[in-house]
Amino acid sequence: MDSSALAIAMQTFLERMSNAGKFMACYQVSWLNRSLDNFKKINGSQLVMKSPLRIRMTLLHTWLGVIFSFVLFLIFWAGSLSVFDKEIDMWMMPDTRIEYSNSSHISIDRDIIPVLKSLASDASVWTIILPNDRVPYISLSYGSENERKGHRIWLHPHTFEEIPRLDTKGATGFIYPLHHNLTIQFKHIGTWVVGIASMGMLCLLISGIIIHRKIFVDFFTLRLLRNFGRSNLDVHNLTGIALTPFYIIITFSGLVIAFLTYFPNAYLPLYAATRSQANLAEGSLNSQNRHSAERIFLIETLGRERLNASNQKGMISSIDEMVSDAEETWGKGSVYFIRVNYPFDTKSNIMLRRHSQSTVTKNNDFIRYSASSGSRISKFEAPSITKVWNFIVGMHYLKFDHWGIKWLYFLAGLAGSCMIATGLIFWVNARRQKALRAGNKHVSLMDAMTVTAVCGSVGATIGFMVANKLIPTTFNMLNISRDNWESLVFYGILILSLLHAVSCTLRCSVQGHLVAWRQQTLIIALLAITAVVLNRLMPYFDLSESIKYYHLAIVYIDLGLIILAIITTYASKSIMKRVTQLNL
Amino acid sequence: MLKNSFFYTISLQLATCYYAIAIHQNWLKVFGAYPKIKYTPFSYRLVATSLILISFYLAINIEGLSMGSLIWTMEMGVAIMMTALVLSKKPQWLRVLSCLQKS
Repeated sequence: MDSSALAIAMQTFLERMSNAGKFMACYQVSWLNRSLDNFKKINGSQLVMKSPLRIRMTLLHTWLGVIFSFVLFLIFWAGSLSVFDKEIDMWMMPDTRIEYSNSSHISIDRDIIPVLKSLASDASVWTIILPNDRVPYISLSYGSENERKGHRIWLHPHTFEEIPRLDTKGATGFIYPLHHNLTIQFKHIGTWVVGIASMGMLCLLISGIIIHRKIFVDFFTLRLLRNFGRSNLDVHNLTGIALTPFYIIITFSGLVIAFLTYFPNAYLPLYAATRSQANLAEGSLNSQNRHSAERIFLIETLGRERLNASNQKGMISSIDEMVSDAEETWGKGSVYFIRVNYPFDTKSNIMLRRHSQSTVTKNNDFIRYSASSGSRISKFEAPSITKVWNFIVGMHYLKFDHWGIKWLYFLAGLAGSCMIATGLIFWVNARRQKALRAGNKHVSLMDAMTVTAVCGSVGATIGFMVANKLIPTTFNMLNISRDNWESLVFYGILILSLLHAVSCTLRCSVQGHLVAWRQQTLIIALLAITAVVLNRLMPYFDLSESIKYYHLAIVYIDLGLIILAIITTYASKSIMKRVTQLNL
Repeated sequence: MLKNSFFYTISLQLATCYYAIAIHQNWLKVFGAYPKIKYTPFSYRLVATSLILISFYLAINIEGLSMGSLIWTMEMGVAIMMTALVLSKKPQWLRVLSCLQKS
């Protein structure tokens, strides 16, 4: 029976039932009405089935998920760890585990300027970042006009001696960039990939909400004791629905952060127009105008104005007094960043920035002083539109000092990773039997990709931490520095994970994926325990010392690794049970 | 701050628990039978809504508008997941909230 005949039959039945007027008939009528909603008329008479929105959105949700899940898992996992990047840095660099209470005893003039004078009196820029609870050392950088942070050193906050720096990227240098550009900086390819995946994530969120029939009931539905497929889908739904506002906030703000990369032409022509109307009218922006437009944009929105030097010898007056003056405006202990432009030049200027520890909005206000006279030159306050941008960005950067929300972000990020993983597992589980009957290998490959996305990413991160402890301090092989070897270990483990998963799934289509999952989760457990043991064996580490406030972060990371080891061992054991059941 | 944040965290957690047990199948899971008074689930929903409003007010008051609304949204998600976990593993724990149900 074709669709037109079916629809006509339905209409006839509908009329008869309507005339009858009985309760059950009414129920049938409403059902038939709903069924008829799925048909539409073409050319006045022919009835064809409509494609309902929910079906279309299901297709969109399924295929976008398959395409972007691998990248999204890596982004979410690295993003969750980036919440505690400074703490992971401290774990990876034992020399930075310093006792710190506050920075009130530090005098810039007495303790820091002499160090910078002896190290870089001829540098164009000095940058001083004062210590805080999370970064307990003074960070100094200096360099030329083109390379403003060319050299970096860290000072002890009490002795003001240089801290020996381990050659490692740490979490701030590797895991955080992995989160926002996958460590691919060439032509911003990494940022673009992350941006496209973020757009995909937004589409996944919206389509996920639309396809969900019983969204309010499913708020609390978690059937862990039912079969694996059911409980897996419940975990996917629950982690997806409960934290939807978080996912929307984090994805949207992530896109807004990098808008300069995604939409450079949105502001460049506008500012080029203010800069040079005539050149714009001629139709093209040459590189000179392009740079100028960018500079004007940065000055207006972020106050990034560069004043010229006079090339005449000058003096630096008391920076401590400037800090006191700025703190009268912003509040005690608010200054954390000091930049000296052209030290010892008559036109030298000093810029002080305040931290954003008490508000969600990321703060980029500053006060600029004349270095020679010590007088205030200008005070920059972000315009309203920049404040809106700063607020959106602030929700992503988490610069504020609130441990509760940091933990919530961390847990929500892990829940996001869990949502992506369970979504992928659901996709392959739903298709495995059919593919096995048809003899197709594509589901086996997707199985391998799923194992790599989840176990590979997690294992590679733990492997990166183990490599940090195992690679000798002065290691340099094949002209590759120690920190790059750490990164290579990460990618090496990721590739090995993929090869192992592919070989397992191709060797046995029925339970190869289970073998891959079991072995890789076991490897993660072993790596996590190794990382804890190695950290315990390292110098400077003493558990009784670590229980103090400033080392508590190290204890938490070790505890986190132990919890991960327990979870993965449990998972491995459960999978082992499943394999045994299948074999029986 | 930590002491104050305890109140809105608890009221948010209670609110999600009340919302959960006001849903038909969750009610059955927790109490094992239908409610004796028809309007009990409705009254639970009312309590839950009041608790949600109270927790939002407290969060805004204690943390400030922007920080408070952000932390409230995040805690809501975590509270929902916690409630779902309790309903899945130990639904009988939620019987302590049945003070509104007449025996």
